[in-house]
Amino acid sequence: MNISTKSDSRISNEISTNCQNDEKQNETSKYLNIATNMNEEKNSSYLNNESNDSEAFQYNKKLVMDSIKGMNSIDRTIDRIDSYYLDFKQFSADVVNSKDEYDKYRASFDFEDVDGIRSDLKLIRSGSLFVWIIGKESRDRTQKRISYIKFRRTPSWTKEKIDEEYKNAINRAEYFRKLTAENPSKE
Amino acid sequence: MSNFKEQHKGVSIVLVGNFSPLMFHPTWFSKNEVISEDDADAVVKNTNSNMVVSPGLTIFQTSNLEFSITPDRFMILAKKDPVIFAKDSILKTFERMSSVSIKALGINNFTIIELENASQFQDFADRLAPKDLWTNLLEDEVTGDDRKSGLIKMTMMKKTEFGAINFTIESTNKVKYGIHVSCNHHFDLAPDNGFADEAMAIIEKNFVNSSEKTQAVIDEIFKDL
Repeated sequence: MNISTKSDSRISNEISTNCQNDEKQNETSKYLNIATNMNEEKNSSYLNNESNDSEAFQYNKKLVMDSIKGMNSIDRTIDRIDSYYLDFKQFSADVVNSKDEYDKYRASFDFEDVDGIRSDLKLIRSGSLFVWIIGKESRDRTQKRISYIKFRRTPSWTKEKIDEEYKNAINRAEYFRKLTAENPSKE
Repeated sequence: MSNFKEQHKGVSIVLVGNFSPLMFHPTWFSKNEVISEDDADAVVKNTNSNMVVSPGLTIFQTSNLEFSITPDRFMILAKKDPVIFAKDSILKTFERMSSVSIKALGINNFTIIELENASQFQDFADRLAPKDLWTNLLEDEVTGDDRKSGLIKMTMMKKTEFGAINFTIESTNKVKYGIHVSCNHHFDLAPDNGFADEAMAIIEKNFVNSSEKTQAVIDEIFKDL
């Protein structure tokens, strides 16, 4: 994961220290739920190896690291990222705490950090979700630090979503019915 | 929560109904975008993958998921974080099979609690099951840190409007001074509504809640250690 860029050892240390201090981090344990919202056009430019978008915004790594600290101090927090920028090597995202929508930070991820990028590339599109895994993994009595992102394969529609949209449609229909009743057409 | 570690967290989702195990080949899952092509290839082409696909049983595992299907049981197990993939996979699997008959389902959260030492381990067991009533059986092993006898397993059940919550605590040899904790949220589906779409709605609605409930119970039981 390149959210703490390799050149920025200070930030890398912040993550490491933070993970070591968390006793529950013995295995892979902290993750973010991430919703991308990438521009389809830019997505295709990535696929076509086109040049970077010059209007790339700057993201604040310190803020992102603060967010990660918050993550590790609160168990089972699930965050969301809405991404809206994509260049040749990276896509950018807004990290939003799902428990506090105003707790929002900006992050940038390398495509090479996507686990199984070859087969998951088609999943990287507007509105798709992914999970950011940060922590330590134990195997054969050895521990290694891990950080990668993996896109989720969620169903397009669930019964709950359909019911919700159905209710919304009924409410909107009712609203317009009232509106037209109050303001009848001159015709 | 400061004197113990939680390890090996996982979640399984089990459906009870009517299934065709032979249909659920890894390639079927990749074609329906439940797992990636890479994962399916790894399972199918690896001779050591222990994959079984037959009319009576299908079983295989990817890097983080385990699939087990018999004619009356469908299970997906996420062996490690992020366990949300168990939910995603089962919802995706039944996305286009909403009319499959499902009688019941379970969302099972499990973890291993590793305590610090024998004293803490025995104290915890004594709190759950005081040994005063067991002197005839346990004799001199009712106290002390070096006991070989004692509580092996305990299940507490809470009846709910949807079914039941079964919380089980048992000793484990996976780690030293380890306690395996599992919490089964069991849902019975009404006979007139026993289909996959209803089951998926229940999973969608209760997956996170069941994890939070499990954690709340763990926090309460282990809070004074």
